[in-house]
Amino acid sequence: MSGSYPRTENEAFDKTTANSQDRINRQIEALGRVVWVDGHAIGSYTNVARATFGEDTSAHHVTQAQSVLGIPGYKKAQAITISLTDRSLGKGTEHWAATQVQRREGGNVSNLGEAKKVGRRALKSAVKYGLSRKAAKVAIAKDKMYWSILGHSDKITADPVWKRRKSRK
Amino acid sequence: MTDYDELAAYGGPDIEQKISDFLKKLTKRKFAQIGVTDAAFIETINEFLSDSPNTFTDWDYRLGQPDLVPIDDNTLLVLTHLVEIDENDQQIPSPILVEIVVRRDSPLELYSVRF
Repeated sequence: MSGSYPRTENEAFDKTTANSQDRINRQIEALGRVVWVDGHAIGSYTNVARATFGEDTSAHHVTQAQSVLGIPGYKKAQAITISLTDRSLGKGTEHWAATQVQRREGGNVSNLGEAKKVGRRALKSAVKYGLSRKAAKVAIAKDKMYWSILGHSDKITADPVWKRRKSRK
Repeated sequence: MTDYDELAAYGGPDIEQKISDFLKKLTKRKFAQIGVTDAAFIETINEFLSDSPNTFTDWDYRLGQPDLVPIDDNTLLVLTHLVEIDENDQQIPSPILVEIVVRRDSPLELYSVRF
């Protein structure tokens, strides 16, 4: 019977960590499956990009990837993404509107909570250009869940790459 | 299979170098080809690139942490960010994300450039 128990504390810790990571991976995978809301694909970047490849849409990360790249566990391929009209950033499109906000504010955030707020403001801006409120709400809810699964509080430091680059000048 | 193996399966063993070279040659014409006409966006990219008077001569850009999305048996979408290398050889990701289409036996294709 004793063979089924961890022999050392480290082994127990490794097993717990592995189980925990496995659970996190399964939850993130499930969360990343694409749902369609009012014509918008919402899910992980990988799944949204695949589902909308070749269309005039852009796979837009709800929380700007470049603001949160350094946060442990974050992977931009898994992060929550929504398809917004016009992958080429044509002026006046949903994606153009969202990136205007990110470009203006994304480099100034200092923690995850602020990065999420920029993401929400970006989608609100896209709503003015055609994105449905329902799709925006679903995307924001999924994004919130993604961060919850990773287990980070809003106070965890975000270190936007843009800010780092500016500070070097 | 590592990410690199998957990339090489679509684009050949020198694909990383090809993509790196491709990124170095991003031009206004290439942006225009994918419909990027937003003057403010182009200006921001140019501002970023202007650290080097001759595009990438002074700054060393390399392929950074690409995410690979297989579209079908012949097509792979690569999402990556431009990376600059500082004086201590440390990689610093730029705010610019690019998507590149890698197709077997075909030239690389710029899919999108964005923040």
